[in-house]
Amino acid sequence: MASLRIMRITIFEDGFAENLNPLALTRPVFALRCGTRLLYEKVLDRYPDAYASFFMRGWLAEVYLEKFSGHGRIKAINDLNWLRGDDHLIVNGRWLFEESLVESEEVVAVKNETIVYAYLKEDTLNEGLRKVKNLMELLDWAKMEVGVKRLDEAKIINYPWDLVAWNGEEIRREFPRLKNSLPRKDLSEFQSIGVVGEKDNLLIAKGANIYPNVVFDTSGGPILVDEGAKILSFSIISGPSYIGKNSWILGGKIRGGTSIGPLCRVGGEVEETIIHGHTNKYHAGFIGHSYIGEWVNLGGLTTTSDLKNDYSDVEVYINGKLINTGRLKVGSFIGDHTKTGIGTMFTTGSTVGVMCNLISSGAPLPKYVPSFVWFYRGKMGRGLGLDSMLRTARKVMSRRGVEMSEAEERLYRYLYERTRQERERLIKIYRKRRW
Amino acid sequence: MDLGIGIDILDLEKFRKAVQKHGRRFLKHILTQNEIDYCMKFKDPIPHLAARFSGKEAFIKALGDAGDWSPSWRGIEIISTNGRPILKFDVKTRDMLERLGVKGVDVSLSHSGRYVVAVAVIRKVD
Amino acid sequence: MSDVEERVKRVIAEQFGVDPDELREDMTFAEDLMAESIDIVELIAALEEEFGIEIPEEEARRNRTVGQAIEYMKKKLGVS
Repeated sequence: MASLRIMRITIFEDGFAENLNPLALTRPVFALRCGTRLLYEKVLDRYPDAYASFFMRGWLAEVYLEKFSGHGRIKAINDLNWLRGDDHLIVNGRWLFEESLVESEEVVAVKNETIVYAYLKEDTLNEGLRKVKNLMELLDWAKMEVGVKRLDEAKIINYPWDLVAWNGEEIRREFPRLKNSLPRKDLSEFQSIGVVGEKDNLLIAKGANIYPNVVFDTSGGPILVDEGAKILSFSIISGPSYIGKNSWILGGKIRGGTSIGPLCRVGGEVEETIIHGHTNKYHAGFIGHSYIGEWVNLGGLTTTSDLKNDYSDVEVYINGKLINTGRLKVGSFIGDHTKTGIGTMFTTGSTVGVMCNLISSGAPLPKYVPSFVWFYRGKMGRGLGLDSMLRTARKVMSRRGVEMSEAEERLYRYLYERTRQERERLIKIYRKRRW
Repeated sequence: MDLGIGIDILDLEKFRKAVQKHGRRFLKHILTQNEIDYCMKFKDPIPHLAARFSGKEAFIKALGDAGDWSPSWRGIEIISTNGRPILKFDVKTRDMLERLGVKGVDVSLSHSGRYVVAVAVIRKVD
Repeated sequence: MSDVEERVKRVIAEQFGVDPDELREDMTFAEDLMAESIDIVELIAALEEEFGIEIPEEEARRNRTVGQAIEYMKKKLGVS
């Protein structure tokens, strides 16, 4: 199939972005990770000459304008006018992008009620932009104008567990291209590491360091250890797995289907889990079928349950609603900057907001913990307030040489207000409980 | 560096009525024994008692949102040194203030006719 | 049981100059009843006098609504 010459891409969040909370509280959905890359990176990777713009919930725009200001290829955020001047590929940020599904005809591709992508030529766009006030109106108008095609094979990410479920497969899909593009080390450079399965499916990037007595098992899928990563002795890594840039695996058991983002420190057991980045889980403890955000610190022996004792479908609270996942194995979804004390236990299908401080009381934590909550002695509380939490967050970030910008601080202040009602309600409910 | 500021104004007649109605019971909630002893030395202790209470309220406002904790009135003491009011704290309160990054505190009191007014400033480490 | 609740409501109503029947459990002292700090201290003192007990003010101030104050007094008096 002839590859489309795409020069302009727009990636957007639709009305269901918030179903990816708590991970989508501090980032647009297309900044989430699946496989080795973030969702938007997958699109940009396929069209290396294209420039891109993003559409996201308004209150995220400031932080992301800042984050992308040096990017070069990302030109605008929430700017409808940027769609003038060229043919455009407009992609739903919740679509797990597959280049082969994009065709060179003007069309709006949908799956059920969800717009997967739209490919619109310059003239069509200019006409449409005269008539509409926002992107969603433009896409609705385009449906009528250029026609609709069904794309049932498209993988749409509805909830956080979808990302986890597709993680292993994405690593497999991305591996062949990375094999060719990433400068790699020869395995003979490392002493006494063991490889079970195809040696060719193990990719250790330049600058990565593997200590003696590490075992890689590629029989289940490929393994990629990215630049600057460090795997300490007596780690066992099973594929398909991805260890991100400058991350350390500290004698851990990384089981298949796991992606670890950059600058993480991971020990203990991790299985079929996505750790976004800049997160610590140094010590023993099991994390399975989970998505852990950024700047999270999981204290020793923090453990998630990913299977119910009666083997029934796991249910998860998303934005206060209990959703049946239809799956047997679902772990926990933990927002940015949350910290757990030693011995914290998460029940099957837990969701925890951002900047929480969770201290175990001997029993598993509540299934849903709203943002900015201290859980202590079995009760939810306000802790020492937002200023204190931000102070701690800044300290955590500065240890890795990162400064929290004023825009980021404004984002957290905004989230604090937004989540206030829900937090107060749950604190009240938990006050009445007897422990 | 972060600065917090708080201000409080108190109607002396309302305060006087409350003291007359509940007496010691009322005072012992908001003032330490030292403070009560000091104020009772004056012919009309009411403005002095009220000013101290107002000073504590201004301080609490200057502290801002500290989540689930707020200082207790008896954990704060306002001492007069050379005519200037100084804030002192009991151990528990001092510990909590340290945890909140409080580095310096200051309070100023004033009284005119029917009203007592207090201003407090807090310096916090970033 | 409801006796404690009635008495607490009466004391609160007197302090804020409202009809006891107007009081709702979810009313906050600070906003709905427009309480100043003096009002809160007086309320604590009045409840102490009504029930003949001591109320530590750190405990008392955690109660921000009428309902919470009633719950607290019931617990303090060992009433269910």
